[in-house]
Amino acid sequence: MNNFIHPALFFILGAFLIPALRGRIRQIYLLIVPALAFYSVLSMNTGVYGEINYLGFNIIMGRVDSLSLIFAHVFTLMAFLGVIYGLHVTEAEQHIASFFYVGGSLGVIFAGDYLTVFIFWEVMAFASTFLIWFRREPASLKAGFRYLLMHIFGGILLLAGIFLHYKNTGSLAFELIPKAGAGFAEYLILSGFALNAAVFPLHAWLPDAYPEATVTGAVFMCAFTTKTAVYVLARGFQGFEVLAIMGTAMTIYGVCYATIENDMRRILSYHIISQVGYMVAGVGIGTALAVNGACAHAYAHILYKALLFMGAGSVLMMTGTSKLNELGGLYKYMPLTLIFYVVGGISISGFPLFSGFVSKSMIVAGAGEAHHPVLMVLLLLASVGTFLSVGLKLPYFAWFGKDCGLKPKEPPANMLWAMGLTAFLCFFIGVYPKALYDLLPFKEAAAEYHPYSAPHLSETVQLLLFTGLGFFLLLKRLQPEAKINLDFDWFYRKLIAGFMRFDQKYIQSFDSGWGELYRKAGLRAMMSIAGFFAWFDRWGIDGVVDNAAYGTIWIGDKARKVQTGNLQNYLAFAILIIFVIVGINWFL
Amino acid sequence: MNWVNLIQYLRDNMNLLKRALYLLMAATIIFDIFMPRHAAHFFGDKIPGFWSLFGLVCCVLLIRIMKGLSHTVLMKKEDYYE
Repeated sequence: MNNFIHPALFFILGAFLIPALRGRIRQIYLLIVPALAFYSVLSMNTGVYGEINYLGFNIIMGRVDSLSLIFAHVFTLMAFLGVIYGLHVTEAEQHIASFFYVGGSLGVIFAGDYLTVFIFWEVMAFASTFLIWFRREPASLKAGFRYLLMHIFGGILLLAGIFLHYKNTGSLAFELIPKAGAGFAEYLILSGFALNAAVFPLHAWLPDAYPEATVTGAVFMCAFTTKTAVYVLARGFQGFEVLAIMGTAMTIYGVCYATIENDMRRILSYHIISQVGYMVAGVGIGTALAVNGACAHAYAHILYKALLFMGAGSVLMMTGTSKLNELGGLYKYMPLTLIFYVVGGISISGFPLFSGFVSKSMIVAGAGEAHHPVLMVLLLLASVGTFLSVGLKLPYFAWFGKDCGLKPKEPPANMLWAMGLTAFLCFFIGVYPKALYDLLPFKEAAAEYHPYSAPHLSETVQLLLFTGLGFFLLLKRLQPEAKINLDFDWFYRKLIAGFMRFDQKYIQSFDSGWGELYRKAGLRAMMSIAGFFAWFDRWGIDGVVDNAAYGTIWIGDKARKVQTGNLQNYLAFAILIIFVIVGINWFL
Repeated sequence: MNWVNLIQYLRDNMNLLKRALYLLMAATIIFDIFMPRHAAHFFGDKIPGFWSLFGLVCCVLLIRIMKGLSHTVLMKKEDYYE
């Protein structure tokens, strides 16, 4: 059977038709494209398709196996939900950008060689930058440039790694890299991937850019960039211990910052770092259970994180602010948004019956079974922080707390439908985890794992309930503040601004001083040297030439006067000359 | 059934909600004491009620430490970068 149609084709080719359509027809078209892509993923068979030999490189566009299928499955599903959420947007360019973005990430998922990975990697980076810029605020413009520069930097790391890897091995095939065989080239590739996965300390672009994106764009962005990175890490770098440690550090780092942040979408962004940390840790632990957990968590995370961004985006769109200190008491006006958001909140926190419970626990159990008790406890600590910020603090201060006086309406129907559908999926995965587990790459390990065991239920409920108790005890301490917190973006925002100031003050003043010196002293010296040469030219060279000419004229003039036309004078002159010659001859 | 009325009802009867939550907490700890335990990977898995204490302590420490760190080092005005 050879029924492989690359799902990225639907999005990338489909994007060109969007500007030609209007109104209702465009909306239907926008829904059909991801639906077709989703169908093409469902009807795919495993195998290798689209193999091209180009300039001696073996290019593989379509490697289909269980690992690429689960990511393609959730990506096309998410694209469908994201399109519903953004259906009210009339600007064609926003839809085009998100289609290219989704197409790029699907291209990476099915790529079998590094060259294809790199090309689609860059398509993603550029397309997603437009999702930030289209918000058309000065802050978004700047944040978009920083985002793009960081991703170009990551792309260069990746490309450099690919070149060195090719030089060493002579192959561009994108396969699992054995840990013993990993050298400088492979670690360069790893860092390029890690930047997109927002691995500490290459993470600051994420909470910097996502809160500045458009309401609908952020829903796309939170799903694709980091999870594509999780996929490539799972493809190439299973069992790298550095990932297990960095991933666990990310989970803690994210929740720490989310505790003190004020902007809703920034809190959620820090929780992307935290949740992606679980997946990176799962990949790093590298056992069948842990890698399964990473994939399952990526699947569940895409849905509930999109739901959370949809909820926060709705509040931002309807009230005009996403700052918690300016919000409060919205439950009277946006109760449906609240309910959908809370479903996302308890899914990410891992409440029983919701998706986080069946996916996150796989990674934690993977850490336990691989005898990493420290990692396991730290991952559980991070889930305390997750419930604290996303499940309690954010909804409490946005929908309850003090009444802010705003009276927003519920968002448009399409946004509510998108949230409702996503919320249903989060619940569905929670109560029927087999639907998700059947998609996992290691089927045997997935069949052996049962999330609804007594110890796991007891542990989770205890953690969550007592986190809630801690929250209400310290509610006053958590009061949101209209401030921002420093993160690693300080290095490229303040330090570079400082360097620019240093540059203006010292380097530029040296440069302009040098210019001034040159203008004053150098130019004058040159002018006087030039003046000397001009003088020499005029009086030296010209003098010799001109005087020779003057001399000829003078002699000619005198000679002319000799020729008087008087025969006597000629004779007398001739005789005089004869006398002179004879005289000279005689004397000598 | 209106969602707003339900939420409003719960807000007006906070004591009811609190009592229900306290009951739930007590019930989980009692469940944890009598729960069959096997395949523990961590010493805490063997102590009844360990994860309750862990959740509460971690939550309090997280808020205290991060708010402290924020107020002393990390927190800046919103126009800091402009």
